[in-house]
Amino acid sequence: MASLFDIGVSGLRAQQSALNIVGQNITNANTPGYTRQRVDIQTQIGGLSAGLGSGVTVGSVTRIADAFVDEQIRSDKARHAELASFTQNVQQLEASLFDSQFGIDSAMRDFFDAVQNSSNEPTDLAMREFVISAGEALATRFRGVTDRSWLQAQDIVGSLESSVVRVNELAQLVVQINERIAGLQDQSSTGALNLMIDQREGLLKELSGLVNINTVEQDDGQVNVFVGKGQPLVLGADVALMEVTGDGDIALRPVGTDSFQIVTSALSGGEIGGVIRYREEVLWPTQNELGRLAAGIALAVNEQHQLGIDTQGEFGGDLFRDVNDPDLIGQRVDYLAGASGSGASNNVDIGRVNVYIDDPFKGAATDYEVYFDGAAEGSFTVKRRSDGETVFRGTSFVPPHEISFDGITVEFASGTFAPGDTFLVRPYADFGTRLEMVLSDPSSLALGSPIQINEAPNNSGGTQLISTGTTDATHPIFANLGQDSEGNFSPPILIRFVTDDEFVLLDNTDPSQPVPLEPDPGLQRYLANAENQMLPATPGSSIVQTSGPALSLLGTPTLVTDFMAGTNGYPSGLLSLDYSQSDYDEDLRSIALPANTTAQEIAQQLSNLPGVVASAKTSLSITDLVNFDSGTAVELAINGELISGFATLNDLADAISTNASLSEQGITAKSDGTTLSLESRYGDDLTLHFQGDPNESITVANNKGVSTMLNGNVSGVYRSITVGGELSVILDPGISLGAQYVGIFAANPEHERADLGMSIVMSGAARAGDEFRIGFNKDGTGDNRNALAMAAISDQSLIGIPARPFAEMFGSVIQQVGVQSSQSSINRDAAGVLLDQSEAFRESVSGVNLDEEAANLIEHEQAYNASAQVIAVARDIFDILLNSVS
Amino acid sequence: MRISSAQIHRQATEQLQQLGAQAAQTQQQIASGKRLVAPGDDPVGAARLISINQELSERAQYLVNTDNADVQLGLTDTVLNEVVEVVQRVQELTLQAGSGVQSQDDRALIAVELEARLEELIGLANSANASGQYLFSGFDGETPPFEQRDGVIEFTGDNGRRLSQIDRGQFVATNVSGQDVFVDLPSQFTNVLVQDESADSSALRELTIVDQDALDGFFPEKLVIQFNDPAEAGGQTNYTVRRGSDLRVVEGLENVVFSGPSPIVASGISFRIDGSPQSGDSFTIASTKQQSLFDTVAEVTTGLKEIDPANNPEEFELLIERTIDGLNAASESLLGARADVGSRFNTLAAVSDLHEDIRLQLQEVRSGIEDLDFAEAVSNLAFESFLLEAAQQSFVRINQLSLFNRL
Repeated sequence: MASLFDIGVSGLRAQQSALNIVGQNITNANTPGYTRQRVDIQTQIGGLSAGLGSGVTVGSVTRIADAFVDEQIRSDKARHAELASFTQNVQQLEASLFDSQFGIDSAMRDFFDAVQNSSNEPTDLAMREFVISAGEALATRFRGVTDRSWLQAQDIVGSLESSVVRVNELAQLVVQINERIAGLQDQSSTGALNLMIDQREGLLKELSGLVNINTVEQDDGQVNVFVGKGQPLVLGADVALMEVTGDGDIALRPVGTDSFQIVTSALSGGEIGGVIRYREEVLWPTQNELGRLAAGIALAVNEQHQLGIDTQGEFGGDLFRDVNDPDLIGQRVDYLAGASGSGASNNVDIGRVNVYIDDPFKGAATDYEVYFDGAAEGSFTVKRRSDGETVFRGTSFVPPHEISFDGITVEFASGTFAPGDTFLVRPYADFGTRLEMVLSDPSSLALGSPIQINEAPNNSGGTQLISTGTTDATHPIFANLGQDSEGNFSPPILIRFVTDDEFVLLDNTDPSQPVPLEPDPGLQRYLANAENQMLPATPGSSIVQTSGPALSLLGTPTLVTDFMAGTNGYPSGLLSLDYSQSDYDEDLRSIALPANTTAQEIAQQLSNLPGVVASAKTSLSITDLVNFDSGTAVELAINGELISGFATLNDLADAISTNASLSEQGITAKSDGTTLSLESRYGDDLTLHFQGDPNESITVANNKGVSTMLNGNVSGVYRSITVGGELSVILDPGISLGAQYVGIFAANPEHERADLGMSIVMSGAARAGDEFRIGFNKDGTGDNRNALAMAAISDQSLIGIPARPFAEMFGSVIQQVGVQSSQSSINRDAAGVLLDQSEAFRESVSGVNLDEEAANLIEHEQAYNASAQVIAVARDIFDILLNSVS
Repeated sequence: MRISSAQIHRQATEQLQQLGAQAAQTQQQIASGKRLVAPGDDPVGAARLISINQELSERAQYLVNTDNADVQLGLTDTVLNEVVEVVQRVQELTLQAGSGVQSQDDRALIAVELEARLEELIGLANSANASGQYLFSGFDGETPPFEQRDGVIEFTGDNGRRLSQIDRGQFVATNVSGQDVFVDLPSQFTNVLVQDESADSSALRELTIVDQDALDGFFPEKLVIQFNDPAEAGGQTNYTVRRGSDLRVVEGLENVVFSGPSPIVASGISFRIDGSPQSGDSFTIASTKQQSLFDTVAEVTTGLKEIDPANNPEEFELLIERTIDGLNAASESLLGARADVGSRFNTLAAVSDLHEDIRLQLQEVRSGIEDLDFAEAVSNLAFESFLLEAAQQSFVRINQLSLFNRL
């Protein structure tokens, strides 16, 4: 009988426990993180006789959870939180970038429109004022937008700091719970354990919202937590704490140790991961792009502005702040703490590094890491951050030392560069905040061009001027401008056409007597009705002129009986050109010169080489006609063309000028009465044959002033002499003429600057005798050529590959940020849905359903009542038994 | 599937929030009238918007430039038209004077009117626009391009072409070269002009043609007058006259002792050197087949006063002939300049029409990218609010269902 009582009582107990748990579930139905519990009711085995049970017992209280769901929620949570903070930041940035009324793009348009307007009224000071105020507005706008991005960078560090504080708190709480769980493990008090696991699960979930974690449960119920790429945050009872470094990096330091590890790039997920990814993928690149755009505009506008002249006739200065301002070049570098974390503390004299922007659009707008690897002494590598490529490998050097790559120059200025030193080079990051308008005086705005071209009044050709432009304002030809209003080029230049398709450049300092330019580029070709560059304009090209000892040689006159040409006496040798410093795909080219080669032939052979244009001319002078009045007719043959019966140099010059054969050969003569200059403009040798009485003579001098007298002999015998020519060789940049050949070229011939700091393009047909004077554009305040050139910067496709104007460049920055924004918000929503699903799944497993619990309540209540009935029945049975006995 | 009670609530509230947010966004779009509020709404559209705005503003600027060019050229055209009328009047006066029926007094009267006409011509040639820029000075901004000095009208401007950008890579000149229209006029006769003067204390004056045939033979040479070291002529100031091309001495004028203001004659040209020339001073006189309009008018004005056809019929005839030739050349060049300006007007009109058309198109494209389709947005909003209401009602209904209510 006792057993039935016991069975009933066991039922009462069990159902009571079950009702308690139902109550617990119902009351915690809305508690976050609560996991529903269930009582496992088991049949109690045993009793007096086998086969009969002894009631029911409460086995355990089970936490109904799925470990995989919890893990899934954590990872979904980390992803969602990352995308949410990423999206939030991007949306903040895009709002500041994209402003249809007050954006950078509208300021750029306003500035270039102001320049256009000034080109319409260059004399109007108000228009010039507008250019300056529009430039100031542009700089302010750039600064405003980039300042906001820098403020955001500061906010990011602030948000990292608060996140890190919370991570540390959570990690420490996890450790505490870990310890208590380990303590409860061997006891049977499962209810408390379950609650603690719920609590820890809640902490881990919150942690996942901050940073992505991985967990591993130990046998004793403790959980190890790892962040990033397996860096331990919690190991049982040990904890590592995060901190934010001065550079905005995150370091992980195990409690009780001194060593720390930078884990910034390893962290992912959660708010921290989102912020870090935003900073690296959006914020920094956008700052770089904006800085590069600002630098590009400043550089292009300044370069063009410096080529023009202002109202005082002086060359323009910087309009915007110089991109390589000495105050800025040192600020483009961060000294990164080394990987060991030792930082710069041991290194007392950290190397100082300057960064110069040469061509912002040659490479990408990215950062570079300079790392002194110590593999070999002083060796270092430069890695581009955008794609991780190594762009430069350097070897040991002594500061100052410069390297150039991707359109920037890095100067290791001073100090010590030790193995392990790492520098972050950020060429463009801050220029957006540094852009400034530095020109304030409207009359200093250089809207004009210094070049003026005047046609001579008796020109008969029909040439047109296509364009003029300054290429280098620092060229010495411009040295005397602007100091006073009479300033002119030094020297002014005269273009004189010697035939319809050949011209020479002369120094027009004395307009009554123009002389060849020094250095003389020689005879130039002109193609009628094509566009002709009239000056040697390629910057970096050089001129080599013949100045060797052979030029001074003048042989002894010989006696001959025919008009055979003589020899010029030039020695043989090898002429070599070094291309190794040039852009040509050549190394060395040589020309073997036999003895007595004419200058014309040398010029032709040189001109056949790539990047070389050579011209030659031969000149000599004839003076002192002695005893020409003696009655006997004198004869002079020039290159075989016989001229006889002349009494004066003027007669001789006129006879030569009218000789068709000679003028066809390009041989001309000029006489001022005392000196006759004979010239072959193509550099042919000039051979003279003189016949006359022995007391009749002429004096012949070469271009170096070495002279000899030719006097008559007997009739039929000629005294003859041959004079060789000179060369002028124009070499493209980087090509040099070697020193081996010493003849008409000197040893180590001087390479003089060829370009004249300007370019002049003409077309149309010219006529022999046409002249053009190139001089300073005096009082040119009405000139707008440089304004037009500056305005053209905005629509010229001068940026990068493929070439794009500034506005499109800015558009693509907007587009990149916009794409990031729209993608991340879509991804965030998708991650949100996934998180919701995981949570719903968890709820479906672990959540409390009140209807279900209500049913359970009824169920267990009924079972309780039934168990009570069992006891009642047992009592009835007992009573019956007692009554029957009595 | 099992579902927890808390989940039912959470899902419902989340859905309500989402529907609410969507309706709010639609509402914001309707309020602003813009579909594209942030680049993230349409990144490609946002970038395109910047390009379109850039092009719109470029075209607007080109329109400003064409308007400006139009004003400048209009002004120039008006002035040229007036010059044409004055030149016609001068032509009439010259023909009148040369008709042979006029007395010396009549010619003097004509000369007086010619003087007034010359003044008028100079005034017109020195016209400036509203901002003070001279129309015919080229790049020179500050000084009047034509200056009367010692009876000679000098051109101090240059032949600079002021361009205005009216389209990408397309420019139109907004000025007419005073040198081309008034100065470098082709002439059948050889004329002379001082090309260079490099002297501080002396000046070349009264440059006249004394022998047209000799000068015609001399063309296209130049005369170079150089003052030499006094030692070359016994310590006296002396000069040599050479021809420009080869510096050959002209007509034996070598180391001629300088005799003050008396005229020097060479190659049919006569001139005077004023002041005290120094060794090293040089003057270049160029011969040219060109003559300036002002010189033509000035010459006939002086000529009518000084030359009496009764005594010097040939000289008088030549004067009239030269004048008519010069005036014809001026008329032609003026007509050419006006035709040129006219063709620029046509270009301007065509280009500005083009800009207007493209601006309209671009504005349409821009509107398509950034502006809202109101009909669609309003109907969306109606549907979204309907959904929101339905969700709210169903939430209340579901909430009323609970087993506990039946206990």
